[in-house]
Amino acid sequence: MMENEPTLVTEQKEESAKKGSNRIGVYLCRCGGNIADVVDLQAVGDNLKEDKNITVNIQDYLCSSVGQDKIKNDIEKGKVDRVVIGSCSPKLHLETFRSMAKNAGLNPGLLEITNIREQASWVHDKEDKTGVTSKAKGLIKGAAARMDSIEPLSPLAKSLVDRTLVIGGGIAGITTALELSDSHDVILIEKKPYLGGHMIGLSKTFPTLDCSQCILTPRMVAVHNNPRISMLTQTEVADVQGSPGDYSITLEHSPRYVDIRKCINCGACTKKCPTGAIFLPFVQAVPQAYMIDMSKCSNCGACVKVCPRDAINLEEKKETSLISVGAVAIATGFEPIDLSFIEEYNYPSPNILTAIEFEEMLSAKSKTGMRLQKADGTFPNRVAFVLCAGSRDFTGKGRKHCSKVCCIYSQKQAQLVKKMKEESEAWIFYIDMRSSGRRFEEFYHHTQEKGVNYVRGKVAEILPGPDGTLMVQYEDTNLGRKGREIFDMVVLCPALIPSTGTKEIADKLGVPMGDDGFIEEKHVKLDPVNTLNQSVFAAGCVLGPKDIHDSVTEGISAAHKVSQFLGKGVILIPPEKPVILECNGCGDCVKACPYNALTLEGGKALLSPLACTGCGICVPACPIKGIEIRNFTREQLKAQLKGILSEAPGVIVFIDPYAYAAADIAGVNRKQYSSLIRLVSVPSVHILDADVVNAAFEYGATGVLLIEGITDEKLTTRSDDLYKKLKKETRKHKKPIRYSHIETAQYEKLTDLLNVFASQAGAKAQKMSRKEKEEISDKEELAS
Amino acid sequence: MKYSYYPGCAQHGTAVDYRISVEAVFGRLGIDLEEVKNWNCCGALHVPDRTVKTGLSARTLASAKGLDMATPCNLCYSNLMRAHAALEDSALRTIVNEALTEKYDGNAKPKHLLEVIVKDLGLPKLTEHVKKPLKIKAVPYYGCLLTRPENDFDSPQNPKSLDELILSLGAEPAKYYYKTKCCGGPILITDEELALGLAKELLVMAKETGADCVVVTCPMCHLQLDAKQKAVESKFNIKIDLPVIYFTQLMGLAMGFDPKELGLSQHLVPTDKLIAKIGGRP
Repeated sequence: MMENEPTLVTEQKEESAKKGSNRIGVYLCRCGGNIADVVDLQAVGDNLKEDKNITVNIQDYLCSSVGQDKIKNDIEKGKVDRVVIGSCSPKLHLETFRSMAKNAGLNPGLLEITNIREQASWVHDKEDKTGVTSKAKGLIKGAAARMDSIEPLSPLAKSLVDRTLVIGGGIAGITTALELSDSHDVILIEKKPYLGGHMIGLSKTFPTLDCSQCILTPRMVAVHNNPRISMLTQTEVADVQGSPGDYSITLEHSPRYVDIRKCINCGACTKKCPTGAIFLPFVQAVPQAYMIDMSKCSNCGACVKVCPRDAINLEEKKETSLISVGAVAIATGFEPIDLSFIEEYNYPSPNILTAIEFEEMLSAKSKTGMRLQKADGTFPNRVAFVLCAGSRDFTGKGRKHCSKVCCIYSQKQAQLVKKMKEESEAWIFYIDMRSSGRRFEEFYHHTQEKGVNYVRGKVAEILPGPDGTLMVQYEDTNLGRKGREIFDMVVLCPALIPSTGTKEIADKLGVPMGDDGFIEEKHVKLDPVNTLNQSVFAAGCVLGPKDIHDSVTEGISAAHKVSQFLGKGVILIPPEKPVILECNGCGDCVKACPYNALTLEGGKALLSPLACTGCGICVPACPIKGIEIRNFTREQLKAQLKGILSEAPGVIVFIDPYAYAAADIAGVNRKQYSSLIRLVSVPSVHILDADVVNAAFEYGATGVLLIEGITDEKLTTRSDDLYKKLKKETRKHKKPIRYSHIETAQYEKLTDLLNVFASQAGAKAQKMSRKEKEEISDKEELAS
Repeated sequence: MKYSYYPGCAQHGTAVDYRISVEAVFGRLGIDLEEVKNWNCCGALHVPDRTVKTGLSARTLASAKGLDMATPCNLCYSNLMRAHAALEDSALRTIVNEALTEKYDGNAKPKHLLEVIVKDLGLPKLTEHVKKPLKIKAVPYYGCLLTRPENDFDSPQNPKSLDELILSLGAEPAKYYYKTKCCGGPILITDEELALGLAKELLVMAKETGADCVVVTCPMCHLQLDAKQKAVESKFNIKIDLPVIYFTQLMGLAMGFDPKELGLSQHLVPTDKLIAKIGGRP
């Protein structure tokens, strides 16, 4: 399946830097008061006055059309030919500004953003205006110094593989696949033996009460019949190789023992099977094919003999296959939390079920002939619904988040109970009744009219009693009293959590998750189905609990975003790659490269830019310092560091893009840390050598931190060696240096670390200066 | 294995049968229980002042002589545990120590006898001493204080140690949802009606499981469920007739002791049928 090999589309254009003669425009953004309330931007600008090549401009909102037009005009009129912006995080608006620069005729790489909001004005003590302003002065000065020396490079482009992997065959995945199939090839994989996810296990859907399988089955069949969708059930992702836009993914297929292409669903096998091991999952299942439960199979072979199509193979084994895709959509959905941890609810016990089990009893997958019944087969006359079971729990035992759908579906279930038997009783125990959403408040009202009992309060305990009855003890906070009621059935509405395996898939695809375990959106509001990996998208409950309507909306959105991504035909890759300036043919870099991007040809090292990830591990590996990463050369980094530390001493934190995102999340959450911290963005901490770190110390850094967020073990397994080497080679400065691995979601760990390290470095610096003073006074004494 | 031993008042009063069985069983297992001298009341549930209540247990714990302190009573255990936790507060510790001759140092960890058997000795070791696996069904009743305050011994809501002990003696632990509900013992004097109502619920639900007996770990629970069983029967006009025995008595039966050596003849609810079923002499 490895056709459509990616190729390098554009070669890098060479232009030379004209250091010292550039006209650098520094634009500072007040961001309303978000930045200007804490940072004295006038002082930051005045600080650059001495440099005749620099012009400074301060705007209220740089990202507004007024702000952008100002920069655009300056570029077009030739007033500036390089741009440094001091504003919010580049993760937010860098693309916007760079496309503006491009339109104005400037190489987009000659515009950079210094983050003085998420990493300055939002994260330090608001009273410490002097400290934060001093930090901003240094950061901007460093950025201007860096800008003066960077080369105008053109991004590399490689062609994309026009095929998408959709992971998960629930309603979100089905929708994504169907929407994409108009113009792209799709591989849709599902872990279960059939499509439909949780939705096929639902009865009626709120608020319209239409039957779930009636609306879903046509979509499943459409997937099955679509020539552009390859549907693979019982399939999971085993391994991911390659890079965005061009992934080689190994899939693992569990055996079904029945060939779905041959099975014609005649049922002859089931009739012959003595143990009931071969069965059709359910009547509407897609694919329509029998399967074998090997735990029941006696291996007698009766089914094999009777099958008219020769579809059964009892020897089938787990298989793998390799696919090549350009984009991935994660739609792996949710699962209910295991409620047995709430010991006072005594789940599982007869007649205590989860809402999902309740739904299944009345769905296409029903094992009771779609009849609601107790363990003894009779109808439950009194049913209790217990909301927020394991959710909205801040004790650390359950989940903090609200599962969003329980308020409405439990009312729907209560309505179904009343509909099946009018004189039956349905009680809903809730904390807050949340019915926001179109038609939901009306649904709430309608359920009340049906005579459902609402009790506002948490259920304390569910005790199984005689004859399968259940005693529910609760507090009614409206009436201010405790109560107990006997029920025939208790339905627990469990916290919905990301399905098992979400973390593994996220790790394989390099996509961060929030601390709630759901996939992190690129932007919570503005990029809700993109992830921080530009070729990976997500839809449905893997992004958080939601209803069918919202899952479908996200499926459509994700398909659009995938289509937009693939439609460009190429993916731009950053041009900041190694350049081999000098080579003695020793081959150390070839050995060091984890991605086989370097080879020796004719006694010289040669780089394959497509295989190269720009990690820069070859830079310190070269014994003659003959390799540099473009625009992150030693000299450029040193110039930046000198600028940053020119104002005041501080702690230099070299941070890679993954951990940089964590710092941004810390900013958005206003987590406070010391204003001595100065972040220096590097493509990877592995480009650093003692040359750069020593320079940082010489310019006045009180400590150096290396923070790595990438999860690629090819790099992280070497981080310890890097740290030890740097520590050894910078020992003469007697200043603290530390390495830490912090993934994007671990922003609290990051801010804790920054605070601890800043105070350690501060203490050490004080001690040193005391010692120095003593030494000086000792010398003075000696001299006198 | 050696422990400092705090018997609590019941062992020398209403729960002589408990004491007899503890002595027999622990003696056979080679676990040395050294009773502390001149011990005082744990305060039960009746001392409202936190400092005084903590002080009572602190005095007891201070006499542990470097050993962990074992106790057979849930109420004593709960009080010792509360004091042990409260005395982490150095201010309180200073106040309490001012009043004590032997100072509290926090080294003695309180342990219930059930914990000593299940955690310290270990059930595999106990199984070696089982001579007569008990072919009965027993209700594991922990009471409300054995696992409260929350501790590292067992779950407060759904403890399992006594279930496992019953299982290791060859008997079947009944599925009992009321295993940590209050028996009503502590309020028997102040509100007899409520207390008997609570006991009734426990006994009815225990009977419902079809078990041969209820196994308890606390003399207060025993008093309430055994001695007051008749009162419950007549008040609610029901028939229970369910023997209530201590876990040490159950262990003793499985270890081959004569029922008399375990104090089983001293119960108010007759244990004859139970003993007959096990195959011992009544």
